[in-house]
Amino acid sequence: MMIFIENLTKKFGGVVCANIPELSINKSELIGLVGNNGAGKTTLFRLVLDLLKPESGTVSINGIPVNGTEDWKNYTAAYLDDGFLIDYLTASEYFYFVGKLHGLNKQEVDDRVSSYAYFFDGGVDFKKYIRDLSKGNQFKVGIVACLLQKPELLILDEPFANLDPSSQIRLIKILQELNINDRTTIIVSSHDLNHIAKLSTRILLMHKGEIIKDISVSTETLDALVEYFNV
Amino acid sequence: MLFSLIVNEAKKIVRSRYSGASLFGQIFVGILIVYLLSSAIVLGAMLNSILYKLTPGKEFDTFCGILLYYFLIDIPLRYWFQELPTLSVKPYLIQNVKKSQLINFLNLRSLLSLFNLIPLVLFIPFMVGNVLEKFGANVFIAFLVCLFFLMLANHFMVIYLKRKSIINTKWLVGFVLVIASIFLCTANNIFSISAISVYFFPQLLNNYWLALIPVLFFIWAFLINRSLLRDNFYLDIDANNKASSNLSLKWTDSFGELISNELKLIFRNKRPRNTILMSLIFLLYGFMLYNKDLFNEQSPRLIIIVMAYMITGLSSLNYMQFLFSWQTAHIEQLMISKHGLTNYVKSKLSLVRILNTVPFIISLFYGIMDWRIIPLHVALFAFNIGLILPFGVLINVYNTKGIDISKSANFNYQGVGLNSFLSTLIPLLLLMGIYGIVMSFFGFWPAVVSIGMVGFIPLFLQNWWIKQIVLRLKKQKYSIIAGFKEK
Repeated sequence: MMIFIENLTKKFGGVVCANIPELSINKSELIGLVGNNGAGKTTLFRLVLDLLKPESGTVSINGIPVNGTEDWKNYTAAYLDDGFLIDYLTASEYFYFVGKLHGLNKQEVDDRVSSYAYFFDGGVDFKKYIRDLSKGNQFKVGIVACLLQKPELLILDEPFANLDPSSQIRLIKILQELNINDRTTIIVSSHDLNHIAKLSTRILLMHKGEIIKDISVSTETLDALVEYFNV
Repeated sequence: MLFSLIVNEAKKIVRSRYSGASLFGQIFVGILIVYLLSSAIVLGAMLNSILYKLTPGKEFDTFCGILLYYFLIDIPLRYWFQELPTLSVKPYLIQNVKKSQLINFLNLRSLLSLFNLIPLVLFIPFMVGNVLEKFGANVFIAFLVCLFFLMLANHFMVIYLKRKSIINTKWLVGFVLVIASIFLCTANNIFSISAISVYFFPQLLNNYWLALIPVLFFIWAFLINRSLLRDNFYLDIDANNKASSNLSLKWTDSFGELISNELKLIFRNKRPRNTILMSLIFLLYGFMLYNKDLFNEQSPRLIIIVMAYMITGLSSLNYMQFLFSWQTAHIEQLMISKHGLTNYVKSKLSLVRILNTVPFIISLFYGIMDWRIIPLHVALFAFNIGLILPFGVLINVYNTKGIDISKSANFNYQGVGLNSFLSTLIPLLLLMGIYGIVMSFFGFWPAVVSIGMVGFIPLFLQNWWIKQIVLRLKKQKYSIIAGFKEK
């Protein structure tokens, strides 16, 4: 079991943003997390990554509570927003930095980054400071920095929102290959139901901090989702 | 249209997010402004009697002599402290507002500066008392016009120079060279600004039209500024797109990588760069402070110790005020990265020690003036790196105020709170306390030795310090993340 959540609650100013009695995510699942704005998707990610202190309950990765040790940092990669980038570094400096943390030399980093060249599509100048890149390109840099770590657990918040259509489709392909070849556990949140239905093996639907639907993906999934959101 | 721009700008000041959050900083700036302004008012009111004391009976001549001098000193001061009001234009670029209106607004907005008030309160009282009463209204108006337009000319000239040096750093170098050579020439009597000043202003008594010279000067400065703005209207949007400078240091582990990243942070962002540069300028204070009688009984040795501490340690102390806040933008990245908290804390402690070591080594050159400066600096250095810096890192774990490092550091009190004041105040009080007690029982040098020992002993407790800091950071990190997000 990759992630196990028990009795997890988090409130902001009296409003419940996360209330999850129990949730387990198995290794090599590809989870799509959906829900309207304010449903608590990003809050859940932050709780999983030990960036927020829960009111009660625990999140465990590989059986160890995240606030207990830092071991999970060795095999977890996440990109939630541009706050996860070091914006005064150039993109290549940032890749080398992340690579170094994971024991990769420059050559290995270059190799791994160039294997995602088609994702960048030649549009990113790695010599520029990250703060001077466009939002979309910052996202690509952040995602590739995650991918080159070859993580066991990958968390991406709204990765499709800032990408052009071609890049969206490429990203879906990348994530699916990663999931099948490396058995990487992946959690992705998105508002794009089509992408989520196509990508995921399991879909979690959040509403007001609670997971109200837990769906194994089949052909009827998209219809079920559309029905929920079609209020 | 201009009016609604002004209204928006006023709203921006009143409603700015961090003005409420950092009330402490706002009050501090307020007090500083009131202090500076009231000093100028008092000085202005007393100018007549001061000049009378210096040169009895010749107050008017002396006054004429200092006028141009003031405006000469005004230039580098403005260059360093005056902010360019550029960024606030961005939202209007896509609206239906004429470019020329925006340019006018920018120029008008820039006038809101203490530098444009001080000369008026400083000189007008004297001019009313002396020029108006002795030479009549016409001369008075001529003087007033001169004063006013010299001020405005300086204002727009400096803004022009600052904008130019943003586009091309050569302008900055040129500016420093020109100003330095003017001051050197004046100091060595090669030519005298005050002689020109003494010659020019009395001419106004007979030829009022000479007051047009500053007016023309102003018009020139205003026009070049306007055309520069018009040609580079997208200046501040593109200003950051410089190619990256290369500053790579080779380290063996992640802890070293963190330090090298943070050095890049210092060199590539405005506020930390400013902070460090200003602290390094403090190194020069030694030239004013140290002399042959430094260690005599009569010299104010407590002050010397405090100042010597600042000379060797200020850059590390200043940087430490915002130790974690410098990384406001990517604090979450640091918290989930593989390096973990222990390496992070180690890198922080090493970094502030590096920032202390470099000025310390430079400051040893003062030993040429008196060798006893060397043991004094060594003791203060040990005190700082052994005790104060680890302690400062510990205190900073409780600082949850975020800052924006792309803004200038001058008069910027974003993120300043009780914590940052404490981390400067406590070391000073501790230093003075140890010195005061040991000095009164055993004398000066034993006091210096004990200061050194107090720092030297905790150096062996390195791992204990780091453990304590990591322990607290683990508990505090949620508040830090939340606080930095609010910024």
